[in-house]
Amino acid sequence: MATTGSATKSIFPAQDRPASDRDLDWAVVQKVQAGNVGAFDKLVQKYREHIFSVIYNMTSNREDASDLTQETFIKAFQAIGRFQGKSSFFTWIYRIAVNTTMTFLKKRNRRRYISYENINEEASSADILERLTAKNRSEKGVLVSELQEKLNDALQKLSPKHRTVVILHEIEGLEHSEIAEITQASLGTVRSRLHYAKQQLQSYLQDYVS
Amino acid sequence: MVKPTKDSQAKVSLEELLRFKRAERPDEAFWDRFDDELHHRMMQTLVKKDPWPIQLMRGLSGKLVQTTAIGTAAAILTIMVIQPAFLATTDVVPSAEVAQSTDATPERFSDSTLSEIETELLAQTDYAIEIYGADQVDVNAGVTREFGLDRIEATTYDTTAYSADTALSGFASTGLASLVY
Repeated sequence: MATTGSATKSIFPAQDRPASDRDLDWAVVQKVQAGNVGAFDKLVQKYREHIFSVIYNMTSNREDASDLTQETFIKAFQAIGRFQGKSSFFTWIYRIAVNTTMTFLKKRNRRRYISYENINEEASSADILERLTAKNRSEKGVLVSELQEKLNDALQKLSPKHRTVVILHEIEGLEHSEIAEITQASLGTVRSRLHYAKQQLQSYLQDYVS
Repeated sequence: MVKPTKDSQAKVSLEELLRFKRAERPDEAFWDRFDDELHHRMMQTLVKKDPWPIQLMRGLSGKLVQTTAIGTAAAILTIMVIQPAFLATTDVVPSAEVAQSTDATPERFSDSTLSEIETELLAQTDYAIEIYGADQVDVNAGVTREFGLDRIEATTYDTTAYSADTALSGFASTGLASLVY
């Protein structure tokens, strides 16, 4: 797995995030606001993998995800002077990423093509893979590729709003309240979208899900 | 490989399956490239973007300069176009007299006479004076006749006699800007 600094975890669920994380980010933001442009790099290093992951899973295209992740950080950099710390930097940057991707998806519309990221087999859940291999009686490598394709296809069948919620919760491990803040929707809406999205995915992936 | 039991087979949930997506991650080379590109784009942003008050001032001063330049050029052009027309009409005959002596015009400005004057002036100066007779309707089509002119002298000049370097290239070929500059 490719990791750097504090971004070593593939996800950082809300319960694992230290309470001081918000304060640490705010301290860095204040440095940037004071003119220390280099400090922004710390925020990039910390969040780039998470932002990329969200955007990649929303677009299913690694090149688009790379461009949009960069665009997200540039937008954040340009707007950081107006960031007042009312919300955490973490939800703020996620919101920029989600909005940027939503705008992109609206424009992209029919011009959709898939470009997958490599599966990091070391990081993948060996236990799940073994169970699936046994169940489907297929070779592990073949199963991994097939599963990747099916998962991406299934996610792309969801509407962008439903996809966002399921990605933020099930893949990124964010809490409902955080997703509500990021998507600027109510808690009820988030739960409702999540429930519907999972129902849809369950039916799309019925060959793999028991 | 651990042989799965029926129970374990039955418990691959959707949540577990989705967590498999976490394994789709770029390698280190990707992030190196990403950082380079991002820094480059951010530098471009820093270079291009000024604070909005500066952008506003620049925009306003730019417009002021532009407006002043256009106004000045228009004023100079107006002076240059109108002044020669009045200066060259020293022998202007009132329109009533012109009407009476229409038959004299061909005699005074026959084709051969016009040609001779033109050739002579061209040889002497770097200006060419073209004299159009009142009967040359096609040439005078754009000229207001209310002054009762029976002829109009339009001054042109040899563009090569003036340095085009001093003029904007877009105007140089017309010769007009060369005079202005």
